[in-house]
Amino acid sequence: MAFVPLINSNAQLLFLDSAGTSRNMTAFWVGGHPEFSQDPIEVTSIADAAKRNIIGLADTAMSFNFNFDNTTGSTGMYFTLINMRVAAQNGTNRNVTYYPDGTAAGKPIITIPGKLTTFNLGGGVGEKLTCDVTFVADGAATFGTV
Amino acid sequence: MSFIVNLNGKPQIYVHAYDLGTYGRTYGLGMEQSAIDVTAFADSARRRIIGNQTVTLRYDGLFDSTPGGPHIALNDLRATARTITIWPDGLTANATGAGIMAANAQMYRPAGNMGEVLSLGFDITADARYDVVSAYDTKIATSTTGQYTSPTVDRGASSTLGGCFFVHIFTCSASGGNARWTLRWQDSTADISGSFAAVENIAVYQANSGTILATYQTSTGTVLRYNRFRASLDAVSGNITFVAGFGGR
Repeated sequence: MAFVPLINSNAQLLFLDSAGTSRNMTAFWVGGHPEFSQDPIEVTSIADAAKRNIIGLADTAMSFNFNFDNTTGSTGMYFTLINMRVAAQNGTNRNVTYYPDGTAAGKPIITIPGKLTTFNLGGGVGEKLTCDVTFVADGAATFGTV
Repeated sequence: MSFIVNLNGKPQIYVHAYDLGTYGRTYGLGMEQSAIDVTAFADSARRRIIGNQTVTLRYDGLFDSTPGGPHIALNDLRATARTITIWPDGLTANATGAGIMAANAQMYRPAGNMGEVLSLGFDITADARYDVVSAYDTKIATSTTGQYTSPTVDRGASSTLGGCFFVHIFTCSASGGNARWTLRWQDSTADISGSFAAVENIAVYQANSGTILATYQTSTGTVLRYNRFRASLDAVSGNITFVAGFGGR
């Protein structure tokens, strides 16, 4: 039995930028994890004593919170997110790759094709600047191992 | 890697020709685009495309009715759609931010309780696109040089999606000759030792002496990889104080 403390890159989050390079966002990532759902469709009939359900469409919700990093240039956080936004406008998915338990061989890896829909910045005087980013999935997430 | 604390000139928020950085206490900038469900029978998971864009800006700060202060700025914004730029990392070379081409104040919001200071806030309703602004500079250019050139920004690749050039002019004097300043957004395929090769002007704005405003110019064509802007004196003497930046899509 081994738990995953959310420190020291034990979980990792990567975004695919416009150049096809995976950008590791873990150093900025404060919170938010993908949520994987499957719509339940009720098929209960008169014959049943309890609710009956079958599984319908799969979906993934993704909202992440970051400490905003001001590294400039095309590899910086801001450009990465903006390029993902533009890709979404152009109808192109950009993969979000999630390692809930790190990147060692055999650990789970989940890849979600997504489109960036929300990019919020802000904060109060004396507070750090934070960034909230939301994606919608466009297709099925792929569950695998490293 | 360095994070940003909202202090010491961060963020900078310009509404038309007004600087709200001196008064601001909290802000939230939202750049959103709607998702449209296009899932069909053939799919096993939800499928989506992107729809309309929306930009939201919420600002709260200290109330001040003196000239140049937030009451004047926001009262103007209630009546007239103005250009706004937001610079989360303040005014440092190659800072990134967001530019909103035209926005009205949908809400003018004074607030406060007994014993507190009166605050003033607003929410905007944008009536145009927003662009990511990837560089800025503020400069007082004197007649001895007559020209200012910003640092070059490498955007990694050219883009066929165009963009927008944002300019806020706070003071502008020019005398003799054509009595104006010319501000240009320029791009190039190469940046060799800091010198642009084969410079192209994407957008040009000419500010006559006495001009105080904010404006923008859009480009729908290809924007090359290396970008900068330049302010040139088109007169015998003069000064200009401005903030400028350019954004891509």
